[in-house]
Amino acid sequence: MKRLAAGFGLLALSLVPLQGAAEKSIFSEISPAELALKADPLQPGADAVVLFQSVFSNHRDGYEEFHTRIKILTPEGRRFADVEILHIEGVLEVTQLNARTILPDGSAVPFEGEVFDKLVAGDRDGEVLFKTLAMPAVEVGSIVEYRFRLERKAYFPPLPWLIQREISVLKGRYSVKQMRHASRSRTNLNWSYRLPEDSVLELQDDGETRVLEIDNVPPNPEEAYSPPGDLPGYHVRFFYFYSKLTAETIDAYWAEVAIRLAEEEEDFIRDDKGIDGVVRSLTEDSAEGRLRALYTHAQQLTNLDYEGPTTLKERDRQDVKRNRGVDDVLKRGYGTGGDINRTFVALARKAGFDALVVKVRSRREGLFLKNLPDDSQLDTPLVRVRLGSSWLFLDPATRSCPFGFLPWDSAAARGIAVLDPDSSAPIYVSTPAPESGGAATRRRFSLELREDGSLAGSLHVEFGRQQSLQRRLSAVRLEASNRGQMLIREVERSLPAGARVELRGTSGWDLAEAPLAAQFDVELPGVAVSTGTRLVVPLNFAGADRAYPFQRSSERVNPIHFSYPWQEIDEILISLPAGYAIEDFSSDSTLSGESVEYRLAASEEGGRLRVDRFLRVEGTLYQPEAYPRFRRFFRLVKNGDDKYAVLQREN
Amino acid sequence: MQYCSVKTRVAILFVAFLTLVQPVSAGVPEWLRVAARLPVPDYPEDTPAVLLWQEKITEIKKRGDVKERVRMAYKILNTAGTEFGDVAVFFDQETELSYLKAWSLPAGDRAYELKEKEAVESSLFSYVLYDDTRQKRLRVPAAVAGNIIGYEYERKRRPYVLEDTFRVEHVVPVLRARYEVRLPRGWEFDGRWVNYEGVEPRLLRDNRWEWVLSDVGALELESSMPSPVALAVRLQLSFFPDDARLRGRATTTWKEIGRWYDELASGRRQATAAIRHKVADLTDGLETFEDKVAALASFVQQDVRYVAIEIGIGGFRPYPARSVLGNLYGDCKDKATLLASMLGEIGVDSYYVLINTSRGAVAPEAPSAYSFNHMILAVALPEDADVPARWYATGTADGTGRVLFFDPTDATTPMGYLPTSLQANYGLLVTEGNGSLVQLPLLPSSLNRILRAGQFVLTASGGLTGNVQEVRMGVQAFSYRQAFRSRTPEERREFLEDFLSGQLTGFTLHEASVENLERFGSNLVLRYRFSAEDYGQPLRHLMLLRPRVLGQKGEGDLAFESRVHPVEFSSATRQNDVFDITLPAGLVPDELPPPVEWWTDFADYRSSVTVEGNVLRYRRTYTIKKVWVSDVELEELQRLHEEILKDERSLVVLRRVVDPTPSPHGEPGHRGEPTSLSTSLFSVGW
Repeated sequence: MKRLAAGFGLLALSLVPLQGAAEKSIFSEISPAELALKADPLQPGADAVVLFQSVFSNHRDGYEEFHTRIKILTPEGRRFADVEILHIEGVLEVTQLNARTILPDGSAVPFEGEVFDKLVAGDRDGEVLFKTLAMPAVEVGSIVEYRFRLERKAYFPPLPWLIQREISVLKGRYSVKQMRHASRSRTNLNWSYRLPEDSVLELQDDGETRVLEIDNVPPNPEEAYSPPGDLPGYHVRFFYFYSKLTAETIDAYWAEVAIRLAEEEEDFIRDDKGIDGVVRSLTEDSAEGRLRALYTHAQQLTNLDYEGPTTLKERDRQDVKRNRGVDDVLKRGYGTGGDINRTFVALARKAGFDALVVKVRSRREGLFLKNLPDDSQLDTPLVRVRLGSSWLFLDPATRSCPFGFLPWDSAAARGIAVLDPDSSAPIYVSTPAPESGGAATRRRFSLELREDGSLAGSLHVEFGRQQSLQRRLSAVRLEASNRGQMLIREVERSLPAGARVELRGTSGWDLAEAPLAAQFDVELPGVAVSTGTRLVVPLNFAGADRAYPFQRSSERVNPIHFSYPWQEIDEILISLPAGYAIEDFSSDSTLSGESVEYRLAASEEGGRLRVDRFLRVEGTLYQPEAYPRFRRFFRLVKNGDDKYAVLQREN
Repeated sequence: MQYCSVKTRVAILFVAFLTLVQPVSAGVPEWLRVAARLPVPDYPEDTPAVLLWQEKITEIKKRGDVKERVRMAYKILNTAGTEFGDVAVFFDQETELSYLKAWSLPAGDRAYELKEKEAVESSLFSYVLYDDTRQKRLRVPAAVAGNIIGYEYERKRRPYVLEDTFRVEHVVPVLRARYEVRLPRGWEFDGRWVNYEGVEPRLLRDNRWEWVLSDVGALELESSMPSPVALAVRLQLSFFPDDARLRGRATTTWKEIGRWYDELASGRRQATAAIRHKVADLTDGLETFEDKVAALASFVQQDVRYVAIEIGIGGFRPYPARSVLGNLYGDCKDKATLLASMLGEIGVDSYYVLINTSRGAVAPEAPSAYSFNHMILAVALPEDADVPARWYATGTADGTGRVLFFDPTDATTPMGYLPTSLQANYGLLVTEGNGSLVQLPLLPSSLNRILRAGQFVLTASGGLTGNVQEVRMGVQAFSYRQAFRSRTPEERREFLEDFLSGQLTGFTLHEASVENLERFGSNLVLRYRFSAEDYGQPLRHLMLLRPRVLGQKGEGDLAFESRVHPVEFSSATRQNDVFDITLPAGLVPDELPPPVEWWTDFADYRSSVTVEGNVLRYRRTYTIKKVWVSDVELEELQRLHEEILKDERSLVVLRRVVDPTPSPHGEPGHRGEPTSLSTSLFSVGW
């Protein structure tokens, strides 16, 4: 089903007849080439292809016009004949909706059926709906065509052009007519985009319309490990700005944002008694000790973003109020993540530290686009504080986040520093890139191999700081028993089917600075395979859930994005059954490079089989050109993991 | 009154108290307060919640209109139970939601109350393009462990048939459940329990009856279990009105349901000139019964696209055949209707078959028009017609003679076969003014086959190269055909690479082809060629080789210690693998895995590894003979499963011998010291 994400609008709930009778004058002629087309030249075998797509964004008169012509190439492609247009009651209204089917012989069947309103969500404040229609008489070789207008009934930001779709677009024409004056300060139309090279929005003779013509756009492939973002593929998004967008003006925009935010911060971070009390109570001598004490204090505040009541009614009942300043936060003991980080800044400053709030875009949501003057990108407040000669980025609002460490989505993130207007420091900030050492999970198995091929013994897991933090956050609202179950399920997934796992103990759930660790008793039936006189032990029995990405040979289009770099460190000791000795085992595997490393080694240690495995992957973002190397690396890792040791029964 | 256990009598006393209390004018209703005070037994730690109280009161008015009131009270026991704070109530154009309220009773705090106006409303988003069903959702505050969540709603509707279902919501344990029906004087009812030992009704007064259950265990979810719909506890009621004018809506037997549906769909198959023209066009030049039927069936199955638009009675009644043909779209019942109409034009009778795509959801002992969610067609096979032997999905029913069951909606299941979910499943065959429940056939394993044959060459260093031919028949072809048809050639290659990546390391898919993708009646043939580096695992002195190169048998995760439910396979099947691996000079088998033979009533498994010259041959046959494995067979199933897994992991030990022929690459097959692989690859640019 094709949902036009760009479409919004409203029709009354009743069914609306279409203007099928007028279709001849509304749609242009279908060309013989379009009728004759049998396959998508850009993607042979595709189910359908967009022959023509146009969007006219008339910001001046408050509407957008869409026109789409799709050729159905396979029976599966008929799904593109079911059309859904998103609209919003009282904000964007669908008008002038016309549709038709062109049969393979060139004759037209106007759409005269019913259009349904499918409610996405509605409450007292309004409704978001899909206008839904099924095109008639569609067969392979047909062309479905529809056009409609979305008229603004209330303010709604300019809609983006979504140029790349799940099927190829052979011909596209996009035009925008700019508003005269969006507001007193925002008068110039600007745009940010992801487009093929040399694509230009040409200014027309009227001096106020720009046109982009772009043909032969292949589909945007869905690829694992693609960077996050709300608009994948080629697109253009519009915004109004007080001047033309240049390097200078965009810097000026973010400087303006920084100043505005600074005013808000300063208003919140007022010097008052509460701060004095906390700072006076510090007993630590060293600067770092004092800063850590303040950090711990801030961490003990309740973060309403993921703790405390979940509904507005509960907040009302519990008299949870909006904090107006640091004093409120300290008195009430709670706040949003932003409140808590601002409070920490206030405390740090009072204690003599140079501290300020920075705002970045969470990498969970997307990458910060400097050239997009939209301050809603800045969704994550952090703290930057000077300790000695270096700057630290901290996030005391995140429960259990160790001092000097950041959750993965805030690390290697970009944004701006909320600066004093007189400051000459740079506005833009990037938080430190994470290193694999901050996400190193160690597993130690001590097992006994039985003659029936089963393994039994203990497993000790120590999660890296990043993995510990993520698990602690997942478990914020979980009871102790469910936390245990969460870890048991995780271990079960890593072991062969039928494994029995019992949790013996955990530590570090509530300690930010210590790793989360757990001990298990495990029993793994049927791991070793008997070949008659021998037992063969696979060395990768504890990697059932291991991901070996990039096995496909397709050409990579999108960059590669890892949430965070990581390490896997396994140490396995296996006692042999009585009467068996190690006869042979696989050679060691070693791979190393600047950003990746892998080692697997089997050895005999005091009559036991010892296996050491190490994997390291650095970095978070790579260009598509790196794909073949990553593919080869993970293929070699998979190959390296697929190793054995052979035990021979002694006579 | 019938005999009641002590537990039941206690429950009835409790219920009597609970139902006598009147709701207070504001705040928490007394029924919820009472339910909240119920002592909760000790459940396992991972029990998310307990349904303290479920009540449904169905009141039938003299004219057949229905008012139903539902009350639910949950105690949340741990974090996983917070989902019960999300309350959703459904309604449609013909069902008025007249009242909805929800409450939360936090321990040690005042209660919260939510009203209907606070709900968020939305349509249902599913495979249906448009459905008039909507839901209202409330997010109840303080839905955390230890707290009680309750809600109550009232709906008014005018049902198409005079029946009602009381489904016990036992996704979690149920402490008390009560169903009450209030009938007009003179009305009667017939009630049947499904998946529950009968609880007898108790007459309250004035033709008001109640059923009370206590301590119903949660429906455990297990892998490869029958559909939860088939296992759900429910009470199915049919009503007999005293008013003769309403009798047509009384459906107490399958026959009556059949009659009701026949009347509902009356006239929908009426052929028009356009239909007659289309039939003539499609059958032009065709002589045989088989060819004509197949041509019409193929047209409806392939050329009419699936679009479901269900409004009110449209959830049951098909659109007229003429509009289905005009639009070239429709849902399952529309397609069945158009095909029936077209078949009629060539003198072939056909009958609707109402069915549920969850096998087992239709309980033969509890007739209900609401049991079904799908429709297929039964095509009458004239005695004198030359019926092809490959039309396997046949059966008989009262008054129809021999019929062929055919699903015009499933685009990849050709005439003669049935989709797996419909096999061994019950359907209501609707004839003129009649209906009978029939069991559709289970197609034998010999029809649903995979024949996979591979010829490979192993190199001295463990590389494997070879060709595979995979012939897929019956449902094994249909599922792959469906997967391939919805993918571009590039995506098909990725599909195959994903399959290989689960079983091979360092492989390269060199070429692949598929035959008969669009010839639905033919076997699907896949041919591919790949190589895998280091398939044979070289050790220092030996090499290990997995003779089972490809394919993983067994459905779902059958590694269970104990289970509650029987196992259900999707279909009967027979699957053969034959892999020949030519060994290089210098490597000879030292130990071979023993043969495996396992025979049961429900499945067989045989495998063997043999050596002929320098060729290692792995053969196996896996057969599933029936789709249900009963409780008493579960232990045997688990042992079979373990044997299969063991066989799939089994290895051949190859020993190195001195090769008299010098290798151009040095000493044959010996890797020597630990190797550092491709370090140069990663030296720059990361």
